[in-house]
Amino acid sequence: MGSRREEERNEKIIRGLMKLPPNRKCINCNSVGPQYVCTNFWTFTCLSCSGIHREFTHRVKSVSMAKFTTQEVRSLEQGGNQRARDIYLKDWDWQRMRLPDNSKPDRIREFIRAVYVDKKYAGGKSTNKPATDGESVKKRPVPSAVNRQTGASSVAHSTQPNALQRSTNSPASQIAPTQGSVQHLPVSVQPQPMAFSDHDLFDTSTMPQPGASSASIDLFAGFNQHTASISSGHSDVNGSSHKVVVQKVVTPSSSVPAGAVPTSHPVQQDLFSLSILQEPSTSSSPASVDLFAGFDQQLAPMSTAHHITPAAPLPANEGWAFFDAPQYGTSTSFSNAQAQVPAALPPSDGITKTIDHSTLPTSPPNGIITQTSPPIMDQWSLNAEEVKIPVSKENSQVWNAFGESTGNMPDNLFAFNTMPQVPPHQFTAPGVPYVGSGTPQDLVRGEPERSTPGDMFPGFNVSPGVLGEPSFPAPIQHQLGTMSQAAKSTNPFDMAFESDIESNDMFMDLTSLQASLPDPHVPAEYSGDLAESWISQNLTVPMTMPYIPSAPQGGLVYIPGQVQEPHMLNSTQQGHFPSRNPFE
Amino acid sequence: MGLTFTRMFNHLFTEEIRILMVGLDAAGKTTILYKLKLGNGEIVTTIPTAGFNVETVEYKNISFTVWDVGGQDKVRPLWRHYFQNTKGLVFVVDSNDRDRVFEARDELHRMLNEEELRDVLLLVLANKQDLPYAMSAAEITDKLGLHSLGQRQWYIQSTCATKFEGLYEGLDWLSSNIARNLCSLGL
Repeated sequence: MGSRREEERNEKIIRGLMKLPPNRKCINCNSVGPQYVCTNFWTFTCLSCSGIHREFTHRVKSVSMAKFTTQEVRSLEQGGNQRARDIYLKDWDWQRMRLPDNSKPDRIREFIRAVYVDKKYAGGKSTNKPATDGESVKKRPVPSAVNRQTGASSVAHSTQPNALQRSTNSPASQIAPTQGSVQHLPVSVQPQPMAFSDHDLFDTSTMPQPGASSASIDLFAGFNQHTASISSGHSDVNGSSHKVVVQKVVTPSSSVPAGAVPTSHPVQQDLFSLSILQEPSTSSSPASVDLFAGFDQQLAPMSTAHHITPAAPLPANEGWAFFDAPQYGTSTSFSNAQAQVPAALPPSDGITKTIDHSTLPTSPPNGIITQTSPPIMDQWSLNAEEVKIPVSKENSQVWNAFGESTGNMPDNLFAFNTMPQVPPHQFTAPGVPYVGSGTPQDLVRGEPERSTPGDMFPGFNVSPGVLGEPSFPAPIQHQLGTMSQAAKSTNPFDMAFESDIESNDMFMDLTSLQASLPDPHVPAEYSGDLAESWISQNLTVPMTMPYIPSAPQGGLVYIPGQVQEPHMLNSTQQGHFPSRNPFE
Repeated sequence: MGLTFTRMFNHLFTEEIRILMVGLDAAGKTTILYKLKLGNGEIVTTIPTAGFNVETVEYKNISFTVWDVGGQDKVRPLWRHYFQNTKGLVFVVDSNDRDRVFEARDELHRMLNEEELRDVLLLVLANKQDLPYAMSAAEITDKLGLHSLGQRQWYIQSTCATKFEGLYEGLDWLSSNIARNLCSLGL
């Protein structure tokens, strides 16, 4: 009986050991509730892992079906999973490397061979570890994981206000699960999206600014404030876009990421366009319209150049264009919009141009607007290229509408705005064109250098192409302005849009932008409040900047992003811009 | 018609023999069972058996119903519940496990002392012969004390289940001796 008591006591001790946190999960596959002990390493393993241990002539004992001697219990007390990890997994990179899934015996077999037989991670041969592909892959996932937890916050933090960040975080969290899967392949991609988003934000917000900074600084200053707010929204969007990208990337891997990246751009563009549009409308719809007219005239030539440069430049330009547009004029803006449209159309430049021309005459706001609204929908649904053309029309129309009936149209515009917001996913598809647009951006850059108005135009061109929305934003601003204010935190929007993460992000961003827009509503006040907002935003932007480097861009998508990067660098600018705005 | 008749004939003359396969844990019982069941081509990944596995293996017109019972020490007392109507006892030994070969010997002799297993054929499979330090069949014979079994019909076969070596040889001995054993018993 004594032996039986001893047995019972030993089993109690083992049961107690099994409740220690490190022993609650299989050391090999992390599955819950391991019931076997590998007496070679004094570890707790699950049933399937114990079976594979046996293949290596490791002894395993069931806690419930085997008797343990007092000596064995003592060894187990001194051992356990934590101790074994310290010994056999000393060089295991828990962030980069994942334990095998116990549903995959081959993986477990490899793991056990590497860890216990070859002792690859027991310390001495640590250098060998990183070399493995799995490890490298895992590494990236880790960052993604970071993004999930802090990552969303990190990205958001850098760029955005806390509220925005949080809102974005929720999408990030949603994304997070996917990241795990992504980690393997997409990991590399993920970083890219990050960089892209940052770049995009920067590009969009900053790029245009640098180009037209000298000449259009004043306009920008006012707009910049808006844009700054927008940029913040963008940053948020970026974060969201990043997340979105990650998700996409996860399944599709590298190819997908590129698409995702583009999406981020479009989103930003959308946001910009929206914000821009909103800004003009809110700040001074009529005045802005006038500005547009002027710009349009100037832009017309630019537009041709823009035609060359498709989407990528467009986003940033769009923002600018919008800014300009609001400042300048309405009716003339039509022409500009048309010109822009062609530019945006890059793929179908000729067609778009022709369309633009046709649209120009038709520019009459109301009728056009109605027409534009459906097309916008289509555009969203359709790829960027296809969309661009209609968008251009719409843009022109929208602009016209704005100019003519800025106050009246808002409802229609609103509908449009909402529509475009939803489409962000679709935008992702356009992302491909965006990639191409990377070069366009360069062109745009050159343009801005040529003449500030030109810069504005390119922006317009791009924006119209990219987003038919810009025209819409104005109405959105009016209506949404109030709405956005209520939902400034973007939480309300998130709620509405949560269904689609990407779209949500977009929306979130938009909402944030809209929130910023309300500020624009106080046109004269831009200098004060807006400037402040810019500063903060700028600060956030720099934060995002570092992220970009952190996320190595691998994807094709990046090509555009890379192009943008220089802009970014140049536009440390962005920071400058905001500061300039504050001056105002 | 001929085929059906053949089947009926085979059915009538196909002996169904109940085999109990035991041994210490991790000796390779489950792997042997499923190698016999699935053939040489299949890679068998097993887990420690809690309870038992049972499969029917057709070999040389004999249908072996093989019971593979978990071998961990706390469930060994359950082996005796499978003794009834068992014609053949397959005792699997991990030839590489020198530490427990005497534990195996004790379990084997404890079983063979059971009245229910008095007339049972004993097939010892010295498994895991592929391992470098595996004991030979002769060494295991010695360490298991098989020579002290007296009247018992026994046979030891060195096997490597993962390579499907020695398994059919063991079944050959069982099939040929079980029939003889049944005849000698007047059944």
